[in-house]
Amino acid sequence: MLIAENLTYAIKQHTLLRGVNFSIRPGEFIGVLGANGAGKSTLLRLLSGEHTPTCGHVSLAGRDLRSYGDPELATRRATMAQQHQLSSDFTVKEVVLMGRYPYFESVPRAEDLAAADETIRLCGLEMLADRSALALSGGERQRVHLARVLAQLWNRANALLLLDEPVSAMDIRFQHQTLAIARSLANRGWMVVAVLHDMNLASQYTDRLFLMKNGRKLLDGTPIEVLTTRNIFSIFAIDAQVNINPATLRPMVIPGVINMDAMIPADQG
Amino acid sequence: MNIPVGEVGQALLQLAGRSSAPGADELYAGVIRLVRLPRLIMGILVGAALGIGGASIQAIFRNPLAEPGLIGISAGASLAAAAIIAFETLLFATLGEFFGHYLLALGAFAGAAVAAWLVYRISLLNGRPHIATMLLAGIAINALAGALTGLISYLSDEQQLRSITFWMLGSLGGASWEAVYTLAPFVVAGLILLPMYSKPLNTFALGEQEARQLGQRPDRVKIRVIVLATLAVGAAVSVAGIIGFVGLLVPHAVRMLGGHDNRFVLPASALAGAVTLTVADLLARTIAAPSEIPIGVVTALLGTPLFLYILIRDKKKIVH
Repeated sequence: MLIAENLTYAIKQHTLLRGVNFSIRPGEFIGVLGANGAGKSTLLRLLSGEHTPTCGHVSLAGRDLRSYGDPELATRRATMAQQHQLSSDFTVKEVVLMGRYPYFESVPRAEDLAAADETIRLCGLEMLADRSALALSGGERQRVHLARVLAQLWNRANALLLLDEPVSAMDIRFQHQTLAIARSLANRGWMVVAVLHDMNLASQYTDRLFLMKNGRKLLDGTPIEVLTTRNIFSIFAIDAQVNINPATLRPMVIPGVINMDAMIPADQG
Repeated sequence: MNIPVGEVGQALLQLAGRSSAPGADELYAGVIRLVRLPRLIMGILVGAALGIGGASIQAIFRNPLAEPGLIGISAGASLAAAAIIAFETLLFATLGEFFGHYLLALGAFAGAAVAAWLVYRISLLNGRPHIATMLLAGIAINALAGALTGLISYLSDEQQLRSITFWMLGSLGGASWEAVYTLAPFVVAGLILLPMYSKPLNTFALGEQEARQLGQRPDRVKIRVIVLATLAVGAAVSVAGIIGFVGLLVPHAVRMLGGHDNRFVLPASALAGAVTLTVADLLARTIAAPSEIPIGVVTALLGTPLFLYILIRDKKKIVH
């Protein structure tokens, strides 16, 4: 179980996060929603232990996050960052195997290779395994890093998986596959937190949604509780209709039409 | 001096204590023992240091164009060497007596270490080395040391200028067992310890944040790798002068041939550096015998075409 209490994070005068309480237990999949700059990535960085909160604290399995050593923490939580910057020409397989680095000294054990193979297959990368990770498209590269962070926690119980916009460059098939993978892993007892922008994806796969605005928690509840026309307007300032998806019985958000004609000077083009 | 191949074998056997064959020429054996063998070993050590130093600095900076010179090692060593050559008679006369002919090597090593330390100090941000700042600080320190070296060259006389230039072109001519013994601990430490950081250096390719997420400690690794590389390369530069190309291009060639995993790249760069320098020194001694071409010139002349060949052959793999 991961519990964060009264998290505040400030850089100089800018308070990026203010008094946020957050918790997740094994088996849960939580989607974090909010406008750009609402503090979603900051929250994830605090939960992963990458940043230390200015105020408040995070505890994982009853222990303060700061009491974990880096190598120990690396076997309990993995984070997929929003941006990836690979500077060296590693193959897909080599990048995924890096996820196993916390587990072996210099030569990967059979189970490390097996974990990498399994996550490569899971993420649909078998055909790309020996290609240079630099030569891939944006969506493919995202899948490579997904496979890497999954390999990092493979076969671990109650692992904490943090995903920051994991599907932003993926095509629709892999967007759904990725969230379905996260869903299945949560069903096996992992704790999954994903920052998402697509409310319908979030609604379809998560147990709970965590809505953020201006560095604060606005709402925390099931998709059906949280995804209402009013809440969506208060977060994103757009009009949207919320129906129920007949196939999944989950809320389905249909944004209204926005007209920007008046904002664009008449002499353009 | 031209020693017949058979005599070399005899002399080596004699050195190894395996043979007391009376036929072995004492002069040949002496040359091999006191000149050729230390020179060969020094070439191997210097080449290995430059190769592995280059590979690890490139991994730290996440930049294939990085080389140990970037953090001021070469420029600092050059400045110190130029200063010692130019002011030896005036300032270092007493010191010179004391240190004997090690003065130049010790001075160059100190110069390399001080320059690298300065670059490192300037790059500290909240107590952590910040790589982009380190790059800029390296450029600044290089420029400053270069300017001072230029000033000293300008002030020195013909003979000193020739010495400075020759030092900066690099040479293994100063090889002796003493030089080998001074150099060996620094290089061997690097050769043994640097490959232990292969895994964290691999994760640097993902970025420092990702490296930390994977349980590595980027700050600690950066400091240790920079210290080890500086010691090895600084020691190499201090006995052999500036030998270009090896630190920059050898790791490249190694990566093009065998992939980017540092568990392979670091040892392979050491090996390839050693081979490159040994071959280059052989050519430097023999092409224009009895005079010697500076080895830095040979490495560049020899290595660049080879590198360009690999580059052109593998262009498609590199450009994305």
